[in-house]
Amino acid sequence: MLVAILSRLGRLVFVMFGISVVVFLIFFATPGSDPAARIAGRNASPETLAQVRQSFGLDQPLPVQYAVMMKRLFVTQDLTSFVNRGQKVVPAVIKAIPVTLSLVLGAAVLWVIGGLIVGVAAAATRGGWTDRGLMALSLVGVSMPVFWVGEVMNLLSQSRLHHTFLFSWVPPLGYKPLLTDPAGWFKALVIPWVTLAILYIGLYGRILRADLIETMQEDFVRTARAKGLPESRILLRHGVRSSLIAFVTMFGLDFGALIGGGALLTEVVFGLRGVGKLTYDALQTLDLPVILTTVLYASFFVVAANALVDALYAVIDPRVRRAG
Amino acid sequence: MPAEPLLQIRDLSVAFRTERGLVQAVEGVSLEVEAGRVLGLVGESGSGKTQTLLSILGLILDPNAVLSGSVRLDGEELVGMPNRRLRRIRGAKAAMIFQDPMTALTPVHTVGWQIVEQIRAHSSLSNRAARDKAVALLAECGIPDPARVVERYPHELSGGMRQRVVIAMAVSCEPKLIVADEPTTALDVTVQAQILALLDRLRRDHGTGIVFVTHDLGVVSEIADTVAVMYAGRIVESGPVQALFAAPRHPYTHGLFNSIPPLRGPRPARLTGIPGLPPSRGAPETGCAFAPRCAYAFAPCAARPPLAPEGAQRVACFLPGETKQGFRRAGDLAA
Repeated sequence: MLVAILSRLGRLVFVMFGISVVVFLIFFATPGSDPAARIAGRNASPETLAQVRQSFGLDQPLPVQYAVMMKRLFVTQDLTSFVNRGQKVVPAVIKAIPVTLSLVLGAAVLWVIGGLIVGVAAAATRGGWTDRGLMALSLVGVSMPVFWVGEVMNLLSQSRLHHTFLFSWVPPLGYKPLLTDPAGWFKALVIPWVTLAILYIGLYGRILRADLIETMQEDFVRTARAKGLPESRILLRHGVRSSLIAFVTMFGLDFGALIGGGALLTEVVFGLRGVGKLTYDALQTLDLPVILTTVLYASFFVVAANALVDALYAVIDPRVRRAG
Repeated sequence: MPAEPLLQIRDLSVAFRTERGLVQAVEGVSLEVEAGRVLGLVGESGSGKTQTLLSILGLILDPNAVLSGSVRLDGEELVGMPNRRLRRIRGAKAAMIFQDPMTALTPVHTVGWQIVEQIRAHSSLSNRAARDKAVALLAECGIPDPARVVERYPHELSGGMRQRVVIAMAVSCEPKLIVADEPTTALDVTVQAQILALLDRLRRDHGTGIVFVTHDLGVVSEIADTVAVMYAGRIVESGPVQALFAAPRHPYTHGLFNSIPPLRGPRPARLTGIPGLPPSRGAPETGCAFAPRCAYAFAPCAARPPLAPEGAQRVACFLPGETKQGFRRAGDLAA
């Protein structure tokens, strides 16, 4: 067990190293993308350029540049933004993490529960009106772009219907820290959670329904029926329990990507200053240190989420355990 | 009033509504099983054996299935019984053993969990007591080290072991009737023999009645007391195993026996088969379903032969008695 965890951690470090090298090379060694020129601004004189190069260590060989960059990123953590001089990158990312985590975790809870309910209810009533209605709704949910849903939500809750009892509790856009203002945190995030979760509820519900219907044709389900078990128990303990692999796989990928900044659109629409928003702003100004940091941060969560999913496989499917 | 047999099937028909109209899978099947006796139900694939079996437990869940006739278990009519009541009979009074032990167990739960689940669905035993019972059952079914096997998952056990687990599960609530759908087909010959011996012992020890579906005549001769041969959804011949094996009277049964290579003497270069294929369902048949393949077919076969008593057997064939007696075979299997 310990060996398995260690080898998993080893792989994690290796993957992240690879990603950091690739990202570094893309930003600092792609022909035509001279970071010094970007920092120095337009029409800078050659002298200024040389000065910038020297002060940012850009005149050194690439491996040294990489090492310096990583040292400033992980050890001294004093890497500064190219655009907003003096803004330290690492603290900025660390400050943005709770916002993204709050948003994505809350939405994940909603979409896992919602996806399970939709999938099971649809599979149980296969071909009936409940099934058809749920599948139509989920298709609508999957098709609506999250920024559009978000803007409509804002329009309703912040302006058109804000004075009615429905949305009078909705605070102005923005994030409230969980520890200092739990109620405010919750109120500020409810609508973003729902907005982000709608797409995934539809997606996960459809996947689960398909898998569940397939599983319910299996021999062991017939055995369960022959045992005289109630239909609900057959569905949940034998059917759903055996159809979770695809559900969990997707969850790992989506969750990792969202934590890593994929919730960008939701963050922008609701004015949440999370990692996605940070990356978005940095991309607009091509702020390389910030982009490098957030991409690395994102890669960590994608890899970590995959490791978590592998561990979950072993929990939900005993056949995987020995292979691990 | 004579005592009613444990299982009495009268005129059971199963049909499926399809785009091409009603397709008869089982037609007018009548069977009886006494407590402690084994009925072997023989026939080739698609002859309606499995559908007959599933309908005993009300396990045909296809919404397009049409069931008629009567299935009485221990004096209780099962056809048309609401699912809620049927559920309490399934697994408790009548249990089922399936063909493929590799897929018959839920892969994500330990075998102990699955046996306990069934015991607790039909009794008020505590989790602990049910678990102890599961261990005892596994031991009774010849599983070495049962206390450890209950913690195992199905994929960790061999096919023979899994079938023992399935059987242990089936007998866990002391059913009066076990219906077994080709329980040995997927297993090695040596394991087959062990499983047959196990079923035979359970039958003797607990007086359980067994309906044993198979296409293997050798297995039937070993375990069954009575045999019913099915062809195209109907019973063509039935009777005590000794009599039927010594002197099959239906040309189809005769053909089945002829398809078995002799144990002694020179082997034929090519095994004798029955020419042709079973009729495809859907086309409504009026005459004897076997007539197109039958070497003895004659004019009366255009009508449907009734299942009539003949000697110790019941046979559905118009051929004169003397011709049928000519089917007698030098019985390796009947010996």
